[in-house]
Amino acid sequence: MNPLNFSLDAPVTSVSAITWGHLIYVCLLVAAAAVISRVLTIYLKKSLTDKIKRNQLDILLKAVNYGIAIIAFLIILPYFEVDLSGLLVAGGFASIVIGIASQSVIGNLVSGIFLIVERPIAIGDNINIGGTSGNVTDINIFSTIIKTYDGIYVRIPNETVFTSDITNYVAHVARRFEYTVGIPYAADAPQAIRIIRQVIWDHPLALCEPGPSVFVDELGDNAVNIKVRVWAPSSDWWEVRTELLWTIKAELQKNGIEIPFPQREVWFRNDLGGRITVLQEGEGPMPPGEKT
Amino acid sequence: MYGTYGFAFHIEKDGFSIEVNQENGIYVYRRSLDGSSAERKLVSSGGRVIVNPVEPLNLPREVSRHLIVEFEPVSIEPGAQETVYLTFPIEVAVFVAAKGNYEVLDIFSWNRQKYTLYGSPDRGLIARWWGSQVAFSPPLVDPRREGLLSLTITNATNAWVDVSRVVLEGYGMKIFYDDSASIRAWMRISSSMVAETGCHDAPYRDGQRKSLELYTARSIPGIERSRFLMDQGI
Repeated sequence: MNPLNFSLDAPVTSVSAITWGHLIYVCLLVAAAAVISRVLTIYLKKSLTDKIKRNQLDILLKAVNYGIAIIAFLIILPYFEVDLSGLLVAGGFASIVIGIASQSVIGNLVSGIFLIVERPIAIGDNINIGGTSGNVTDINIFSTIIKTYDGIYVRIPNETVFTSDITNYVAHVARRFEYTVGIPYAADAPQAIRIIRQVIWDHPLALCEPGPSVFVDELGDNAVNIKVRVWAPSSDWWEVRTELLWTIKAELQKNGIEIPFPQREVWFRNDLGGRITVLQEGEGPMPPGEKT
Repeated sequence: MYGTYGFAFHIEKDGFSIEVNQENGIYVYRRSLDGSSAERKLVSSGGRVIVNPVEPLNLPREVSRHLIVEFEPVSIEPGAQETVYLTFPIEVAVFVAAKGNYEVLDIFSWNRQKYTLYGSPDRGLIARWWGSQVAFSPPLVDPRREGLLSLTITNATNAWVDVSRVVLEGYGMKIFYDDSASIRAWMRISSSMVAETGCHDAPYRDGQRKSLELYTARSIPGIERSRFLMDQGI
């Protein structure tokens, strides 16, 4: 029996041409790739965090890490006597077998590639896919990760994403929202419109162009309904919407225009013969049996 | 108001005050303006405070990196080059400088901010909006609110072109100041709908100092363009 030989030129096993030297080299290369990847990640995070968007930085970091891993892998392969041309042929056959065996996986993969090429959504976008709403946190090759507005993690297979209706709320830089403001019939509608227009003008993120639209839309049961349509940056529309609504209410109130409650006028054909009692504040209900 | 100050200073004028004081061993920065105020504590052995106008794209928060200045339409004859004088909104930044590094302490403005959409919602961009009078000689400006924007327009087409707005890229905005701020910009019209714009890295008049820039500090060299292509109308 041969004694163990740990010299750098000695083969690791009797059937392999891999030497201890190769093995150490490969280990060093893997370690170096990991270190380079880590250092680059830290450097890029430090230098770019305040310069580019978080989602763009994530994509860049992923590209850098995968790139380093692929380069290291390609450098290492020859030391394991892997012929790359042979690998390609074998890979071709393997992909056919794997494709038949795992159609849904391949479906997700292909859908993922199409999603990356078509880019209907991007990391950070505010979207709705098949009834799931939230922010896209990651687009992987097989699945898309969404964080719902409740902070719930949802993983959707890319095939589902690709075949579903996708609503991307921030694909365009600006979007419109609207609300209906009811004013009493006795109120001056043109004055109310002027007040609402001024409130919109005073808000920095209610866009000048496309301009807001404020008009009497409906003579409702209880109020004259004024429709208010405002454009805002897609990234900030929700804040603008919530801020404006209350400001409009407060400003109308300040100018003597109250938002009316639902009300109904009742007319009697004949005078009521009964006695009408007006309860003072703090008085209890009528005693049972006593009629008004 | 603009300039460089040592730690421990105080400026107060017309409802506006800004100061750095030492309290209990640390420095405290305070600013008040028209009811709004800001305060920052500075742990430092000493340094400088720099107050200068910056790219007007930071308030109420950073939502755009473009400034659009709209003005009365001006017709430019074919092949002509003309300088018109506009204004731009002033935002003032307060930097603290120590050991070769700058940090933004505060940004404030006497102006109200307003944003708009340049172009269509799908292809356009959000821009800080400013309406300006157009003049053919330098106008008097309120230095707290407005800076002087001298815009040299070149009509490189063979037709008369109407110009009523200019869009400037934040990364390329070069602001110079003395008592008031100014930008020297250019606009080259290549069709009735398209023009390229940019800023000269030079003062409007001798003696002006260049502002510390926020957007250049945030930029990645070689990636951001300092010019802007107005391809959705001029």
